Amino acid sequence: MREADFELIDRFLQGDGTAFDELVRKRQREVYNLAYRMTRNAEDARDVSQEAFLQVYRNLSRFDRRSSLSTWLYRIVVNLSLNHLSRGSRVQYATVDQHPDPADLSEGSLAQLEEREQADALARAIETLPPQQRASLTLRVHHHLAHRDIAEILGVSEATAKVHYFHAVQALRRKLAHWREGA
Amino acid sequence: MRCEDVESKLLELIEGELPAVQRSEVLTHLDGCAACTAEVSAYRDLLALVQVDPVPEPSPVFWKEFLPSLQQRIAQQEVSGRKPTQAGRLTDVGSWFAFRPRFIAGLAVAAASIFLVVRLPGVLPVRTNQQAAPTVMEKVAGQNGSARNAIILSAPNRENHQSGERLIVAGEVIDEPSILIAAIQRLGGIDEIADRLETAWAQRPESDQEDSLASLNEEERQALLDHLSHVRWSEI
Repeated sequence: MREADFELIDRFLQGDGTAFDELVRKRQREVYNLAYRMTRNAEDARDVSQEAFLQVYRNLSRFDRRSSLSTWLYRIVVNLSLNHLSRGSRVQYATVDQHPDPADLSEGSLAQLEEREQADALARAIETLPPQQRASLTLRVHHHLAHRDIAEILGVSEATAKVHYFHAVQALRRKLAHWREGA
Repeated sequence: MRCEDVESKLLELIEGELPAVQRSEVLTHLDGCAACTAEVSAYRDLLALVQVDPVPEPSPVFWKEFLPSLQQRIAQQEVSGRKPTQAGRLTDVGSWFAFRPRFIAGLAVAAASIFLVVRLPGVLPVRTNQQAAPTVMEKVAGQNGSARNAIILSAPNRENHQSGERLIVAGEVIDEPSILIAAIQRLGGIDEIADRLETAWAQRPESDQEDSLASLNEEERQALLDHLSHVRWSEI
């Protein structure tokens, strides 16, 4: 992956305009997903994703290759997302009204409803996490990065990145404890 | 080891971050402690739940337009030579409008109307009271099929048209340029314009026609018209 990325960058720097398009197509989903998990809003994620690739385009010639393209790209996305969050995001959740009335549900449907409510509760709990904790959590759980790489992306020490992650998981554990107890 | 000592190490155990000696001690404790074992299980369940926390899939149109929109913004920046202030605004304009092609079409009509009224007074046709002024109404369904991100442009005033002098834009009767300028002075940058429009339509998607087209100043209008000149109308 790393070599393939660097090859694309080389082609781009040599004037091959299709190389950047390839890079975008290859990375657009993971960039969007990371932006969404950070902002928890589709429109914000869209804006952040576009802006992230614009920054990549502007700065690709200055990319020093000491880290992987992914790490560099994630750093851009996370920083843009943090900026976005600091300006106030447009988080939207499903409301209770959007769920069917439990009285109308069969046993199987009730289980589905409970799963849905659990997922909603998780989404709300993640939203309450401080942005740095949220970033550590998603980079670790969804992007499977080592704490060392997460630290580089967040511009903090590895120990701090770990603390962010552990605090995030423990906070979610507390917030969702009633689901476990009810199970 | 006591439960309190183990509890703080459970996540590190799951993460494989515990040194060998401590790991061994914790595992020994877990062998005889149902409560701590249950706690490990709870953490694993939680992480599994987080793992499957979904990202809603954007519409196919979103992905179809993602790269072209980006290419358009890059081309704009290269043409504009990245002026530090206005270029930044243009980027924001592009970002906001790039995914709203129908909105762009509507705004183009409005921008052209404003241009005609301000720059070329008298060129609009005279209408009588009985002639219904045309209305351009475009509603753009949001990602989930909702009627967010919509715009309704109000066309010439039906009641009292003077030769090309009365036009309603965003609920404002534009009798003379000073009114338009006053409206402009109440606005900040492009972001605010975009936010105002979006907020208005999110709140009142089915509302009356004299709603929310914000006015643009000369520089913004020119920037917008430049931007619109790059739109591929066949996609609208």
